[in-house]
Amino acid sequence: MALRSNVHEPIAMGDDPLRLTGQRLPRWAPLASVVAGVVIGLAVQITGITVVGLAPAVMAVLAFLVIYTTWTLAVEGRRHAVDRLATALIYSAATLALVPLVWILITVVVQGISVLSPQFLFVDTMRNVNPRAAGGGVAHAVLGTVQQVGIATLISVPVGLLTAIYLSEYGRGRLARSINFFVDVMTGIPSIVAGMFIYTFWILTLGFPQSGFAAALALTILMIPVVVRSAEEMLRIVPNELREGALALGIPKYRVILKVVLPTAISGIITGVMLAIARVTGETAPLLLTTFLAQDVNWNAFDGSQASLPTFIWDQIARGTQSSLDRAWAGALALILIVLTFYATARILASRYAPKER
Amino acid sequence: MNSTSTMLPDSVETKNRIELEDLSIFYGDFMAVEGVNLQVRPQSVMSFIGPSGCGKSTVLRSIDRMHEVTPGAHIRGRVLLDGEDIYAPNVDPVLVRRMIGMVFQRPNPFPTMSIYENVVAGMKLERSGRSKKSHFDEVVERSLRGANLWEEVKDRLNRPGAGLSGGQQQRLCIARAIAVQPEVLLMDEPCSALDPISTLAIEDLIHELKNQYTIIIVTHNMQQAARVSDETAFFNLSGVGQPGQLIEVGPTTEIFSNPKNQQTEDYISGRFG
Repeated sequence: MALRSNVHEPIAMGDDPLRLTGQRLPRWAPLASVVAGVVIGLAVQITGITVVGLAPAVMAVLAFLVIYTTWTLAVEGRRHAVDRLATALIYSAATLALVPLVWILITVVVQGISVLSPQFLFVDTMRNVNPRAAGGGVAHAVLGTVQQVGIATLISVPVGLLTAIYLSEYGRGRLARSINFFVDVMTGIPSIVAGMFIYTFWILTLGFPQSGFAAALALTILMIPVVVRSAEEMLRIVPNELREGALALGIPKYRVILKVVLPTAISGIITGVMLAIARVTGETAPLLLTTFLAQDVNWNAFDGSQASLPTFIWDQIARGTQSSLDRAWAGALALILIVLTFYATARILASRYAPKER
Repeated sequence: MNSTSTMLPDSVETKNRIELEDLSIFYGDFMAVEGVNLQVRPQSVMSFIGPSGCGKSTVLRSIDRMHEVTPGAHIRGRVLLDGEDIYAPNVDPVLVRRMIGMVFQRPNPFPTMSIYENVVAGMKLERSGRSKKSHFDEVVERSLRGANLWEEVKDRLNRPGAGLSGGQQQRLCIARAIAVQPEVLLMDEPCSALDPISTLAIEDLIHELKNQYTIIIVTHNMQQAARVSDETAFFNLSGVGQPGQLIEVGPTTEIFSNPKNQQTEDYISGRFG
């Protein structure tokens, strides 16, 4: 006990005592600096006085950074000032990245919510609706999007997953290298090129009609490389010790992959697949070339034009009236809702299959 | 492969379980181990000791054909299990690994499986839907008891194996290895990631397992080699980039008290390098 009372005493080192404690900023300092920055931003907004023509928001951020850093420098010293400046920059950058995202979401919800209804989503189509007047719905487009993306997923997930398994578990030498190369090239294909390819190959050369299936083929070209890359990454981070442990038990390699490697990586693979689905769900250009537009429900994905949400939005914006713009916003909201549903499903599935500790 | 169980008792006495005949091991063109000749008797413990990089683990991995899992790796020479060459052209490495189990340096329970599923993984995954649930229950209890883990986990068999402590995880891996009833158990520094208490538990376990299995253990801990093994093999390499070689093999007491080779003496007395 006698020893303990000395713990918080400074430790003497010769004449210069080594101090373990120092002046710290109060805990409300970051908040106060943010408030000061906002106040300066508002002042710039109201008075119109600014430096080299910078916008009020930029001035607010700069003022916050300067106040916060100099305050820390004065009280805590240089090392802490650098630390807090870096922290503030990181938080500012993260906030900045969120701004457009939140902005888009809010705009789409505000603009689209008035027209959006279950009736609009699942019952009404644009059949016999004057495209420049109010009314109608996106049921035909929702059906088309679900069918096209569904077919594309059914084709590209098995192909992509098997390719990823080949690359991570078997692939060596020239074949693996060339597959790797082509997957990289495919990742960079612009979506309109994928659409043009299916248009010239499937529709012009082979003579198949424009259809939802042709659109799905174009989406497949875009989807496969994304699925391959994300699944391969997930398979590669499965520790080699697990493969060896399973092989050493006398388990055949294919069952090691099926029962040990895949289950370990499955939650990441699901997330990757869902992100790939979300990415192609919003594609417009390849759909215009392969299935074009339709104003009515077409259940048959293998024959005739089929609507889809992205092409619906494109079509409605082009009509240029207020009613058609409202419909376009509502269609955009529907598209976001579908993608969000995919994403939420992915998160739930991923957490269900994730390896657990307890 | 059933020849061992039908063999006459007196022939078992004289036969070696594992024999390495002029075994050289390669990674691509690089020769990692050169010309090893070694015999291991049934129901005995042999330890491999030697400095890092001398090829102990490489030799161990070649005994259950885990070596060839590394791309480009191959061997020259012969490895005999009960007189049968496990590298003969028509031998299935999967079958070899069912007869020769392996425990690795770092515990590697399968993270997606429960304790129960980890133990029966070998039986369940080698062929699907052959064994019955009741049979599995029996195997799980027998293996976990065999690995001295039963009392600690019997009430939470359905919890994930990854939730156990490091020492428990390693004993789970031993249970997993003995669940498929191999003839030989290879252990690659099984205690190097464990604390002294868990190490002791595993050493005790090795003493018990010796009654049923033939055990080869790689260890960096010479006291451990002296405590657990009947025979000791010392490996060394003459220089960087040179292949590892078997320097001396003999009864553990002899290797540690009266080594024949100067290198062995230098190594075990700590005067090495």
